Amino acid sequence: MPTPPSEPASDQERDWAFQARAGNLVAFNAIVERYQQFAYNLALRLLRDPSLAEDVTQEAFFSAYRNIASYRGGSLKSWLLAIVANRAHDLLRSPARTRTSSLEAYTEGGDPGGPWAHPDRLPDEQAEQAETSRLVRDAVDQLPDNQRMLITLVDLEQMDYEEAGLITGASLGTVKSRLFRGRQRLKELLRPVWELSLREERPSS
Amino acid sequence: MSIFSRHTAYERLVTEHVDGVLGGAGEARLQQHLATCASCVVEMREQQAVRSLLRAEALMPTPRSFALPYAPRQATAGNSRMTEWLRSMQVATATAAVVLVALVGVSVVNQTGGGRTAEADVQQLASAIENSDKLETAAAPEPEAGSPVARSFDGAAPESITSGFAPDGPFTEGLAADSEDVGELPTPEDSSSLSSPTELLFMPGVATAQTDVSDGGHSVLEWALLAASVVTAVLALLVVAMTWRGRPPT
Repeated sequence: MPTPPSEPASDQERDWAFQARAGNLVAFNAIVERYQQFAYNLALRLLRDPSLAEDVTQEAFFSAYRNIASYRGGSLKSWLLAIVANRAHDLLRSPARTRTSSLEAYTEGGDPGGPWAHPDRLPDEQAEQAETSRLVRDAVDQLPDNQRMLITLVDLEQMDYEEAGLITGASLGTVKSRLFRGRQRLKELLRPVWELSLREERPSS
Repeated sequence: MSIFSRHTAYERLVTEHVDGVLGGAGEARLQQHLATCASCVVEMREQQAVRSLLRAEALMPTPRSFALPYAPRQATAGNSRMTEWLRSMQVATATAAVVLVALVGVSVVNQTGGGRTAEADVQQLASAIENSDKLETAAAPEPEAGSPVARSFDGAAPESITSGFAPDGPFTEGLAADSEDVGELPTPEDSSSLSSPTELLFMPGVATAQTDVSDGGHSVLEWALLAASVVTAVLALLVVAMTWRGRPPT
């Protein structure tokens, strides 16, 4: 289970980073295990291709190990995700990249509910949840790259504005502006979904 | 501020309020506005619903572990310093190369008389001949027979020099028969029929007009050229030696 987001590096993380800098691969892999889900999901949201996301995540961790000496403290998660974001961004700007359809890529090889479906829920609930997830992902995928990255960092990875700004290299004002525009666009795209949820919350009104 | 832009400003504040990052005066201003603006209350409810949808999205599980199977080579602090040093060396080499090219360009222009026209050459030549005549007639003593100076003017000059001044030569066509009278000088059009400029340098007085070329020593430009060449070569060798083992890790 991932740790709560947006925390400064704990003593344990600093210790792992220190040992990794000294060449301790086991210590570095402990960091990998802690943050690989965040890293993979960020790459997946940005690239919309599981195979590319996998490659970028692995490359990012290799790069992080090689350059662990440049880690100067602070949030280890932000530092790692910045590497992932940079690599994904480079790939997005690459003209040779072929984009795949997000929906097919996300559900490829998965069960009807998708790998993200909650195992405790009834099949109907799982199907409904899977459908909602599909619609949300599809809507997020329609956002411009810079808005999608911030929506992913703030809403999916639940990071604060400052950390999202550090990772994307954007100022706080730019973060707020892009988030606002992204949310406004999503509000329009997901209107049927959230209107239904609002009606379910207040059946009498 | 129009009603529309003011409303948009409050919508932006609503986004920050929904995310829980609005505080202080902004939060107080928004709450004051929400108490009187029904549409902003609706906007807030809608934004909260969208945010809830997004935050309900679970993280996808990773398809596999991304733990490193082996330890790649790390970029140490020493490597970083070396990389910075190498970059500064590359910049220095590029600068030295630019200076070298500029000096070579200036040198070539000087040697070829860049920008000078044939007319300027002819005028310089005429001036030199005039000076020579004045020197011969006014200042120079009559050379003794058999002296080296007399020999050079006694008709034994190389044919390559005298050919242009033969009675039927192109250079003498416009001259009067009397040698004391310089007469008309060659026109720029006639200069095309002259011998090579090198031959003209052997004419009396012409050499004195080219003092900057025949001073016998090295000019400042030549020394600068030599220094720039050496610096460029040394820097280039150092950069090649540094990069021989491959690019440092980044």
